[in-house]
Amino acid sequence: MKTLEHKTYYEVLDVPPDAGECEIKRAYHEAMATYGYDALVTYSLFSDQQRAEILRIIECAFDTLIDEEKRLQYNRELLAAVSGARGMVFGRHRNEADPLVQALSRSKADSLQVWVRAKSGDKEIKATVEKILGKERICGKDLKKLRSIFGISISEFYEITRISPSMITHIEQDRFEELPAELYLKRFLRSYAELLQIASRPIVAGYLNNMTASADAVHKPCRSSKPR
Amino acid sequence: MPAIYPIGGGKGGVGKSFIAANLGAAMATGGRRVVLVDLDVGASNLHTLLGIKSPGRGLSGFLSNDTHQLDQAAVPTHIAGLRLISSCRCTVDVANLVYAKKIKLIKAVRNLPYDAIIIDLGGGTNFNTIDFFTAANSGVVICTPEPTAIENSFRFIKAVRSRRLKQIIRQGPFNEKVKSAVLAKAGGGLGFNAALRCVEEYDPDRLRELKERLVDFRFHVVINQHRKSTDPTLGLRLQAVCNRHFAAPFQFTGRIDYDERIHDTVYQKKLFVELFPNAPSALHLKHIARELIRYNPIEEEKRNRYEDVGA
Repeated sequence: MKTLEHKTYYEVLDVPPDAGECEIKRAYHEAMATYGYDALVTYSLFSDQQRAEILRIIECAFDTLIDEEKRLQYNRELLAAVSGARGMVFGRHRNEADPLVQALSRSKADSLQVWVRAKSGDKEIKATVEKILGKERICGKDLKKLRSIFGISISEFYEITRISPSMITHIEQDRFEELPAELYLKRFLRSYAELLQIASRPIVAGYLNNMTASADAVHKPCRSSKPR
Repeated sequence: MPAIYPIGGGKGGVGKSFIAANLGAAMATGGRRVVLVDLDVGASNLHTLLGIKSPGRGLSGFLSNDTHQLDQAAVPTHIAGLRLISSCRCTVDVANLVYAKKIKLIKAVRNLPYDAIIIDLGGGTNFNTIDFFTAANSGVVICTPEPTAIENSFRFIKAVRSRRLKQIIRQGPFNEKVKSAVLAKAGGGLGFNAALRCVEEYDPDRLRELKERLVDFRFHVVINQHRKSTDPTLGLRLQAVCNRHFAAPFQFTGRIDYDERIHDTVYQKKLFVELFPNAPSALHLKHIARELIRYNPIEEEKRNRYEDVGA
């Protein structure tokens, strides 16, 4: 049975190289729930010995990546180990032309869709989505909240929508001066909504409302910037 | 070429026949022509689920050469566009088809003049079940959220994988050393990973081609009898685990909720999607039908003519 040997710690936890602390913690819990001794989803798939080894690797991966210094050191080691190999910094044993990798990336967009659809059924998520969609002014923090309750990282977002990670951050942090012309901004906001499978009109309208109102607030400091 | 959807899964009683029959009904809407083929020889149930008492000689006629075209063995159901080829009249020895008959049957199934062919396979991992499961380039594994079913699903998947690997090596231009090691009769030949290592060592130029052929087959996973207490992420986790450890494309196609009324519909020999078309489980079945069609589309030029599943 193929185990986790020859995988980088990022691959072990299935996180992108720029994953933040929250994402790494979430991934660690996910991995433990998947490979733990009582896990239904891997029942009978590994011998006790293999499972113990897998869990050991997961712990190592987490300990290394959650600690800033250890992580930096690990990154340096990875780079040194594969220097010269084009584009394989964080996938040193993964062949980019591997037919399975290609087959999988084709289905990644599909599986994200299925994931979002599955999550949309969750009561709490539904309630949060409705609350935010009902606001007249939607700020970047609201968008970030939506993205994170569905558990989608910025890099996954980028992979599917092709909106650059820095642009996603500008949008979520309300850095209006960095945002592009309205035509493009509307397009970006629509992709946001589409990926999360929620209505796009209220998102676009709400965000633009907030943007305009905030611009006004600069000239009229007495107006409260809290959404109504 | 018709779109073929084999429904398998290893464990008996997980709901393969129920799902096959209801998927057939869901797909046979809007002008699609669908045929259900009951290959669970010795334990065939499709005719009962459809409320058909006497589905004719069915498969047994074809296998005994009395019926020359497999399509002649099909009988209509009460659903327009849906027909059934039953195996309820087959004798027990048909469950262990000889090789030549099996090949004849697989060929005939592939050429059935329908838009979609849904094959109901039995449980277990015998060669016939696996060979029908791999008759096309994808298959549906039905699993329930229990350790027994999960265990049997993994066993089934591993058996499919090994069988495919051996077939690819047997039929391909691999060198003699590889063939004799992998296909050795004694001890059942090499295990999957050992076989890959063997190819890597003795015929490395063919390794890539072998891997490409292996990932040609896609597994669709359906979780049946999903309960309120079932972990909602089980399906996607299973997808991730299988993709990672079996190195083959797996797609979690959907779940079907447990519904007490399902038992009642089976008892009445009626279809759940007909009696309760808006029940969550019926909607799940229709969703799965749509997803399967999406991944394995019925002929391109005809696709646009058809309305959405369940319309």
